[in-house]
Amino acid sequence: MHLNLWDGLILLLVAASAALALRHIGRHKDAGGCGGDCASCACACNRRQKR
Amino acid sequence: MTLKDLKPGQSACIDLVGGEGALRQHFLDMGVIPGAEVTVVKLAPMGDPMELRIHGYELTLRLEDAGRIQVTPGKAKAPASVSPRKEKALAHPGLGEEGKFHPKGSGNPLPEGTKLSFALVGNQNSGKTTLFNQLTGANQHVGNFPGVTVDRKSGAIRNFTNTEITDLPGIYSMSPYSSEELVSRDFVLKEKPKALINIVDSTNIERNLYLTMQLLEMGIPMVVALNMMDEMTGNGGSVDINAMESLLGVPVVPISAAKNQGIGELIKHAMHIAKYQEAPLSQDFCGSDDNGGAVHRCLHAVSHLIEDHAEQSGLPLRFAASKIVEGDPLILAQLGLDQNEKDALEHIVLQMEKERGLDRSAAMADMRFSFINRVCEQCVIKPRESREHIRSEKLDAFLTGKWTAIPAFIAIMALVFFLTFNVIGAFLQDQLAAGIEWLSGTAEAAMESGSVNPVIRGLVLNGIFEGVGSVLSFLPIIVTMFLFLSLLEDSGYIARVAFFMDKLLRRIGLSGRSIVPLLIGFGCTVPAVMSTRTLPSQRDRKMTILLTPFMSCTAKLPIYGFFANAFFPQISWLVTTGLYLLGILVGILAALAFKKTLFQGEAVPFVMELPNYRLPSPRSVVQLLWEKAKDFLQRAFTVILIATLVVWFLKNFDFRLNLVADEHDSILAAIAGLLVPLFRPLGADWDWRVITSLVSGFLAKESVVSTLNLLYESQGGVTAVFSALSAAGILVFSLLYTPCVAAVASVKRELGMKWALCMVLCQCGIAWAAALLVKLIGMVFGG
Repeated sequence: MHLNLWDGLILLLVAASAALALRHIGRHKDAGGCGGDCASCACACNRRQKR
Repeated sequence: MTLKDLKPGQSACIDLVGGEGALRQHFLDMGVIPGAEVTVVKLAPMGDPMELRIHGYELTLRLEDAGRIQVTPGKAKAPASVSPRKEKALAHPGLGEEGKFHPKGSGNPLPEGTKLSFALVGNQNSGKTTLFNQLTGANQHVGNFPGVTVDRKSGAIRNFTNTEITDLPGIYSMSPYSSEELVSRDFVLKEKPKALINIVDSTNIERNLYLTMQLLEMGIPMVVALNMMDEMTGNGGSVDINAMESLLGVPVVPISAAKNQGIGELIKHAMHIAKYQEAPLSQDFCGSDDNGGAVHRCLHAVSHLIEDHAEQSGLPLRFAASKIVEGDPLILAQLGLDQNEKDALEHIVLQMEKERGLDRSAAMADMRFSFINRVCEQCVIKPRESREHIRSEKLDAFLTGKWTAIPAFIAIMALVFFLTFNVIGAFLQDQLAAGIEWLSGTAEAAMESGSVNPVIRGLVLNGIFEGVGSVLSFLPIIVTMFLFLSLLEDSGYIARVAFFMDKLLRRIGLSGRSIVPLLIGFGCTVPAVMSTRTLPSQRDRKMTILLTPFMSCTAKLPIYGFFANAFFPQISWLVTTGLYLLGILVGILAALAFKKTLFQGEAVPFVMELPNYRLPSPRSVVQLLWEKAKDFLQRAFTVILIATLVVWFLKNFDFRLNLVADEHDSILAAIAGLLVPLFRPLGADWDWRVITSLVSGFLAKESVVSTLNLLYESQGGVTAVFSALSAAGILVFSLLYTPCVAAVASVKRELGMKWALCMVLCQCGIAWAAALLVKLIGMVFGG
């Protein structure tokens, strides 16, 4: 499979998006099941925000 | 004669409150005490429960519970102990003189730099969360439905970083009737906040002050925030704040949390009493001349007897004494009394019951309400019937009327669904879908001009745009659905639905309150599961959570539409409606099975306050919609994005990571193929492609149709392969099998992994059995 510069860029973008999504899921263990109810959420982002 | 025998419009005086345990205590705490006047407003359309007016507010309770309350028809006698209203002017603390009524030096100032912690305590629906938002600048959701706050929430008071205020669930007394009341009581007793802010609904002051009196007994510095004063004064009422302060012995601040009035003064007072630890000046509300003074003597005797134990166990003495007299087993155990002391206490209480002519709980409630009557008589000019109440009565005549309630409910729900799916939501969905399509087309053109590799092009277009895009297009429908549901809740209508649906739901083991999550379940299971937090018992909560997935969510509509139009074009609407009804029917059967097995017993008693109708605040509605949209977008770009990438990869590669020409050789076909034998009994058409589609439906229901289309493209589409019977089987299976991953995640969050897993397996089993039944019925009728 031959890849050009654009292919590389798109793959990089997709990989970065996936990494960010995984990082988010890792932090919000309920995967958004909190429905935006941040105050009762104990995820890392929220704790940082509270500080 | 009992309360149950009264006709609508009839008034009576309560003679005796029967029953036992926590429920009876709850009745007493709600003001259902001997001597109180009660008027039956109406019966629910199905004859049960009933709506009562007592102490100036509306309360609903079931006929079964009303049958335990003995009454004498007619008006109640005016209490004899009320002294005439004083006109004497009392000094009010001036600016900078907060706490003037405390003798100088009586406080116990905290060291500099100590974090000031506050607890916000008050009755349900008294505006605690609105006040919390004003104090902290937070954006917590508020609703016009008792019990919106189910978790405690904390934040710092604006501009005072070294403070922490906790919004506790609404409670009616410090007796632990529901788990929320226990949470609130434990917080105050164990976490020991530096001060309490007691929010009192001034339009319903009598019942609200009942909790205030119990909080005063705890001896913690406290300020009373008289909320909704704008409504009170707007209807001709007023409160003599100075007199009330002197009677209660704590600062009283009139506020309007919704209009942000009086909040600054409230903060000043709260900070002062917390910093200087100024405890309430008075805790002794039992008059020595009150009905012969039996309760007074009893309470003081008990106080002396348990003084050392209260100190050792860290309980406020007056509070512990009151709870001992009421017979609170938790406090009794905490005190660790000797058997001799227990016997002595029992004798003291028995003597009090004999002298007072009331049992222990009723005597205590009566003592408190006698004091409250005195306070109200001296400080409160009651407002005339409020505009809000008159408006509510007019609306209720139709919306909860005997013949109009159910048709009005069906019409309102039909209108909500029609506007969501056919008008507003659908229009916005089309616009968004067009936008996504344009974006996809632009991306395709750009990639073509950039000679992007076809595999990567497939990843972006067929993977990300198809997967995330198809889910994203449902955002307007979901936001529109929430707009209507939030309007219904904030206006106070949902509380009425719970009132008139209670009888129906009790037959399947639930209480009227469960109707809210079940209705939301028709929109989306995730918020439905979350909304079960308003239910007062764990049993009802678990049962409702397990039933919500049977209410067919909006994401399944594309599956119904696709199959019904393709295989049953003449009766497509009948098939779709039938599927919705089948979901409800299976839900009812599951509820009955739960009632007989896992969740035996009765649903919690339906004792609920009916709030006045209010116009929803635009800020609150917009805030809620933004939260929901943000949450949905987050899910689309995280869980669904990852899932899409994984499915795309598994579908296009084999185990040696070579690109496959035929999808039968893909990793996905191999993995899904393992499950094929399980589905073989359902029919020959249930091959790996159907299973893959259903598995992709676990990630997002919307993707079932697109996956099926994609996988059957080479064979001329689904219609060329499936029989009508197979289509019917897949429809029923899709209706009943496991909800999507987001819903399962929310169930896991509420109930834990074990229940979430159990729900997934059970629903798959039910769906499998139902699909098999469809096949067998079809075979019998020669399909």
